[in-house]
Amino acid sequence: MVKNILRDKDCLSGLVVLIFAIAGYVYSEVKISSVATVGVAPDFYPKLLFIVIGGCGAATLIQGIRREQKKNMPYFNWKPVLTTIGLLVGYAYLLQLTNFIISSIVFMVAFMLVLGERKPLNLISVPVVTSLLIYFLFSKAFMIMLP
Amino acid sequence: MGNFQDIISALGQVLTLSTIMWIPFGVVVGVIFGAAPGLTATTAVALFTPMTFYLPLNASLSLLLGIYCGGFYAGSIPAILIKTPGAPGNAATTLDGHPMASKGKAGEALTHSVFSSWLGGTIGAIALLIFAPMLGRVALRFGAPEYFSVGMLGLACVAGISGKSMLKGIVSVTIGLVLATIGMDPIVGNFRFTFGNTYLLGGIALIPALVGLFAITEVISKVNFFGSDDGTIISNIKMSWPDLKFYWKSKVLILKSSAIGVFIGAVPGIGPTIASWMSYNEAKRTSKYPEKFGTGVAEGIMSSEASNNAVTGGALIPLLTLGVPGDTVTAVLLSALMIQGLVPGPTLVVNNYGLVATILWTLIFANIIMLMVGLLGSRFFPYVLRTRWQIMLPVIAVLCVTGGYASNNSFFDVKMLMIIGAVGFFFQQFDYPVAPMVLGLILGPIIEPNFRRALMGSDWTIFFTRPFSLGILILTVATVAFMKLKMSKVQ
Repeated sequence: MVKNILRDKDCLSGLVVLIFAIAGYVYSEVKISSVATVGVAPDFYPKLLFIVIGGCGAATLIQGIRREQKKNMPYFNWKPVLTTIGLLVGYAYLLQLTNFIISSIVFMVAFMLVLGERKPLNLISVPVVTSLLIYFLFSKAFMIMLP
Repeated sequence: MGNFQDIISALGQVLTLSTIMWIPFGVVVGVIFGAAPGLTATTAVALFTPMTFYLPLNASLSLLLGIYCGGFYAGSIPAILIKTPGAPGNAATTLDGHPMASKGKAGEALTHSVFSSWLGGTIGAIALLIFAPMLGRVALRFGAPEYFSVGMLGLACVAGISGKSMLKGIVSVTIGLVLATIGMDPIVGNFRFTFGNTYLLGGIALIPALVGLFAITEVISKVNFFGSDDGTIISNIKMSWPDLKFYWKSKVLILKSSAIGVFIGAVPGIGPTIASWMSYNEAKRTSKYPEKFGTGVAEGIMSSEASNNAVTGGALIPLLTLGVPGDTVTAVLLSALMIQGLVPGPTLVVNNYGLVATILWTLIFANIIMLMVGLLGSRFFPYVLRTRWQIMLPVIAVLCVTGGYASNNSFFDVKMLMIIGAVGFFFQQFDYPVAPMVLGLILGPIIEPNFRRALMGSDWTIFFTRPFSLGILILTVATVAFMKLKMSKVQ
């Protein structure tokens, strides 16, 4: 049973949604004020939303269990996907540590390498030109200051 | 209808160099994003919205509406050349567009597509000018219960953008509504779901969420399927000019398809997919040679594209008059208007008719530029379809970060954008559509405060005893039922 749930994408996602809804409902119950001076209390609306989410999650889970032909888990090309997510998060932190131009050039070179770009001219020209162009476009034309 | 003087004065405002130069830029960006497989007009509007922060209102409208028109049309380019619609609204175009292109008439097919899109888009813009003030005057009588009902009507969008599973669409939109509750309670000022983080006190900023869900999610998805074949591209394109006599003979078809597009576009939640299929079916039903549909007849392309682009004007009617987006792209446009300090709603349209007239002219010029780009640029479209993702994806990612940071000059927003984008990617892989989440995030601030205000002096029955509120709720149920029926037919 548990194995089947973990192998079907609707079962697994329905279960995760259901757990999320229960956690959200409990958090709303405990942490949000339920005192209503007028109308409904601040916790009413979020709780209602979590009930809807939980109901849909449970329905998705039940549909998945009842269905004879299981839905395969989605395809994940984990290595490039996780590297990309890591690069994006790293870019966000590097932006804070350095500045827009340096962080963008470093990020773009790394990302292009992950995507298989190997031409040295492209690896140098594209990040440098793009970063400078965006920086000056934003700061001069749009008057938006970048770090 | 509004003041003629307002319309002329708006033309003067649009016809300035600082405003009109943004339209071609927007149209070209829209065409590139709309045509490139895997990217959409929504991604383009989300990505370029932060750039409009410090642009004057008219220039912002020119840029974004240019992208909007160009992107809606350009989905037909891959539909014709690689048999893969750029957006669901262009799916019906594939039926006759690709067979026509396969017969060596790709240029002709592209011309039919752009010329019909131009006619449909222009008719849609004129409809906006006529109908927006009418609906605006009715909406002036709305109170909290009606606004809550209007929000619910907006949520009916979920039926149209949920993809394969309505349940998953409801989960997604409701999570969006939960995200909208983060921060200060709109009635009594309590803090909710802030987890002690001071950056969350003001809630989740809309722009990082939009850019994260529509652009970062797409970047990661593209990486996941990187290297997969985008299909065989028909690259032998001979430029062709529209046959005006043929179009004059087909005026009823164009008008009928455009009217369907405007009407369907104006009802939140239905959108271009249903509009173009309905128009295609209607054209086939009334044709003298219905058996030829699907083999490469011009009327198949014309009906689908005229209707698809007429939706652009129609979808702006509920957006401007009620503050409720008609589809995903207008949901992003709504946030762009709010950034400019405009709060769409009945007072905006009734008291500021000049703005509606400005939007009309901008749409008209955007459609003209779109026609020129479509006709003159047809030979270059195969190059757009052969996008080098090794270069395009890093550039998009940098633009995302730039936009996310620029919205509030906040590093927290950039991190939030990355997290939301990554979460959106996993949502998408498990068939949970991300567009409803954005809809929830946008409609949350309309629904919750009006829901709670309505219940302050009354009970639940207030939503069903006030005629406008009841009428809108009935329309909501009817829209969802209609969508379910139509979508099952389309599938």
